[in-house]
Amino acid sequence: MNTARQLTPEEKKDIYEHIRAFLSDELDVPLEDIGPDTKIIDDLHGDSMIYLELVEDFKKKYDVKVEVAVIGRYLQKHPIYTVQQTAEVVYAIVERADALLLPESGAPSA
Amino acid sequence: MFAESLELTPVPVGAESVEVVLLDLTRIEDVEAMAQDVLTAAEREAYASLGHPRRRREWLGARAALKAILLRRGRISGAAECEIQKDARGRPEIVFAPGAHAPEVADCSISHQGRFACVALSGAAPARIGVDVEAISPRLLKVAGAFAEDRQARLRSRSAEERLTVLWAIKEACAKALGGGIGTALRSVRCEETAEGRHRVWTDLGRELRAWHVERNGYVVALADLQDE
Repeated sequence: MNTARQLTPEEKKDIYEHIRAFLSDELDVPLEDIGPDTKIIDDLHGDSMIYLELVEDFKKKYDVKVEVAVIGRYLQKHPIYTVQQTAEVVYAIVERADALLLPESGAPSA
Repeated sequence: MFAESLELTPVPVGAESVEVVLLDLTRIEDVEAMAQDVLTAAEREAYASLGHPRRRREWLGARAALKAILLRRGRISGAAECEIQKDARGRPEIVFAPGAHAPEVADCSISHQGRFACVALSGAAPARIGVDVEAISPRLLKVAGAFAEDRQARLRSRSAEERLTVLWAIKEACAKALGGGIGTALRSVRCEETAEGRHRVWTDLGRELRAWHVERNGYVVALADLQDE
């Protein structure tokens, strides 16, 4: 079982900047056009595959073993549209790993 | 009028009660003029909020294609008589203007990638449908381990790129039929090709769908329908 970890503010900033750089590179958009409220599909012409690519990238980078199906269930409750929302989901995946679907109090969610 | 000039290519996929068409987005000559022709005031507001020009073209093209089908079938007499909105599950639905004669349209679905917008219109309730168009490309090879873990996905022998594209397009089409966006697409599905281009799909939510796919010009078009409610 993956153990939870707490990201530092610097690590969160790194993740956020990595997401911006990834999107800039993959979607051929200038970095300065990508901010926290930028919508990945509507403003950058991303597609659903880009989310999967991002998640896989971070799972490898942080050696997190969470099943994609678990991430899928999490995304159904926490839909993502913007860069900041995407970063928040990545933080949750890295910090909570297998416990991703549990409420932060630890009790199982419905 | 845009409905006469729009070249829609029928795609023979799915049940007979479902019409599926492709629109080559590169053939739209004047996007802003089409937006004026096709969109209601509320739709123009949503269109104006889209930042990327290609996203605007896709979004508009899909709506133009759906409305053109309705016009050609005589179901509406003008583009302003309906608009495409999102329901609570994020699925597109056709909402007819007050006073307009609302024809029987059970469900619709929209997809776009690369050159094409793809729309599907079902006339048979209670089916919910989902459509997806994907370019066959090596891009999926990088993430195959993530979404193609379905050990029971039995797809007839194709190249790895084709097989992955078919599987991803079917997952996306099923996700659109079910609602729930990318989250639903990432959940486990089992997919069995029962005949050339025909599939049975089961999800980890216990839902069963029918799905079909065809390949056209380097793209896969997949359609899924959900019969049970």
